Amino acid sequence: MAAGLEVHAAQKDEARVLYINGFINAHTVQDFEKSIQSVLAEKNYRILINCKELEYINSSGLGVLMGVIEEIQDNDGFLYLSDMNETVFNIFDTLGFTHLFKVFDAEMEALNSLKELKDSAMNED
Amino acid sequence: MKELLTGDIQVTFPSDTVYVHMAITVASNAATIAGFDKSIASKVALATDEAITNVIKHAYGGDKNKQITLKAKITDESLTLRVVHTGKALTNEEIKLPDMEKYIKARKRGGLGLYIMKQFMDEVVFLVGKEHCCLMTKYRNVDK
Repeated sequence: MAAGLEVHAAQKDEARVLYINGFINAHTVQDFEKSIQSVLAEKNYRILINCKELEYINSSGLGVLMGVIEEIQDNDGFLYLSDMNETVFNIFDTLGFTHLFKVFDAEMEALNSLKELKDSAMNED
Repeated sequence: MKELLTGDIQVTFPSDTVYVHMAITVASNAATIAGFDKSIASKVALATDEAITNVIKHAYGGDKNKQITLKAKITDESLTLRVVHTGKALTNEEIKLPDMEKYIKARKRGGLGLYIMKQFMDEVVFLVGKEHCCLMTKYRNVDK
């Protein structure tokens, strides 16, 4: 990992949760991309990115998210984000990315939303 | 009434992405000294990140052995940031900003740097000369 970014993953309920610590810019973006690609390589298409410790993300990092969203959606998955600080939220909001990626205030809210989706799908069956 | 601080800050560093975070810390601190709140300072920092990254990638083509100078000037009216380089010049005529609605629908990637700079700063212009420069301005009494 490049200095400036650490990513670790954990399985929580239905989602692979990626915890991002540091910043995503041109210097660290390759490590960020590798982390997401390794999750996709394991056929995990239900991804939640916890941004609590993410200082900022620049256009390189947003490009990575744009680059994987199609593959995730094609596999009936999702890419959720949570716990953004104001800086990170501002950039998503300014670019209109909040319409493309579901953003939750907190990880627990995202996981609860998934649980509700799962429960409702089971009831339909 | 709080006194308005003014001043000049300059830092020169190699055209290597490892230095970008250091440089944007300078830009963010300059914004804070100029009296902008944390939210605006972070936007100034992000615009500076994009401007420097553009120089490294496009003006210098990824060559890590060139030099970039970041000049911050705080006046009574504004904070100006100049990202100065001697690589390939970008002119104002070459700037094409994406239509974000179409961009998102098409799931494109890349090309957002200039858009971010324009959104987060009040003015962004490119100057061509002996040294080339991306000049970004944030006015002290205008929020965006």
